Amino acid sequence: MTLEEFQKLANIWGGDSGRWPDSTRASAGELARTVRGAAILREAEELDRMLAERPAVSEERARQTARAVVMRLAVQSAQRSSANWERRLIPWLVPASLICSGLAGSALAMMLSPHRNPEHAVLQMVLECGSYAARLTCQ
Amino acid sequence: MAGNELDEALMALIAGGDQRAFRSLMEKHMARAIGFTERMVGRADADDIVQEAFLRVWARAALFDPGAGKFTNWLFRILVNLAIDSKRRPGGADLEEALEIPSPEPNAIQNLIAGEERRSVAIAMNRLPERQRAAILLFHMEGLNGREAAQVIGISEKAFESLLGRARNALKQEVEKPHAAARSEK
Repeated sequence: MTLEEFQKLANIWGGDSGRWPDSTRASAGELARTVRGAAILREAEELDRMLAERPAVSEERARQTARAVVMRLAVQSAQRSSANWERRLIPWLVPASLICSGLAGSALAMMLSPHRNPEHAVLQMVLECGSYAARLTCQ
Repeated sequence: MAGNELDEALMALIAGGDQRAFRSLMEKHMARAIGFTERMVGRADADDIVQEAFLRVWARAALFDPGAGKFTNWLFRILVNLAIDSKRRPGGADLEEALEIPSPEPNAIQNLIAGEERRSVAIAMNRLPERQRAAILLFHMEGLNGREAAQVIGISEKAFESLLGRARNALKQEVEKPHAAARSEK
């Protein structure tokens, strides 16, 4: 490995040659022990240090976020069970409404029918017979 | 039990609907997930994205395959995808704020210089495309190796090497800008 190649790898992977790709590590290790190689790594480490800084996250913030997840899960679960109930109900809605319409129609037909009352039916029969008899007498 | 084994055991319980295991898993990884996401998208959107990510962990726990990699890498993959899908450009000020880390150094001038450097890095990070930003954060902040980070982003190791190299190069130039300007003034 040349010094230029070493510099290129440091520019990509940073100043810790132990984290470079396996295939480069052995020859990089030799160059890292030279004065020039060590200087290249030191310079790359400066940037590594800045990039590795992690923002501070308070325990309270982490707890609140976890609590919000649990709340959202509870809401989702409630919505899902309500949706399931509706889903179970929907297949029965059409047959049930047809049966109800049928029953309502039959009831209405019974109510409006002129023969709904047996007395009315007998009366109708007598009247019809009477008019028939009268017609025969006249003839 | 080692960290990874514990995560795997918790994930197996979560796949069976164990909410207590889920709360333990969140407690273990929440701060790290928020920190990573804050650097990806800024503080304003970080918490929402992390919440969404853990909801996905709950919903898709059965799909987690310990043989394919660590739980944390699986979580990072979800976070990176959500971050990329969310608003493409976070507010610059917000990312700068994310880097305001109290320094233990007693020297005020050194603090000032360190603060300036952090601001330069934050601005430069903000200008990077999302995938380059993810590459930097996964490799440098989270300590993943090249193969793991490539898996998280969903690219080949070679492509990751190129992504990381371009990102570091852009950041280096941005950080060196003030120094170069000072040199030229002299």
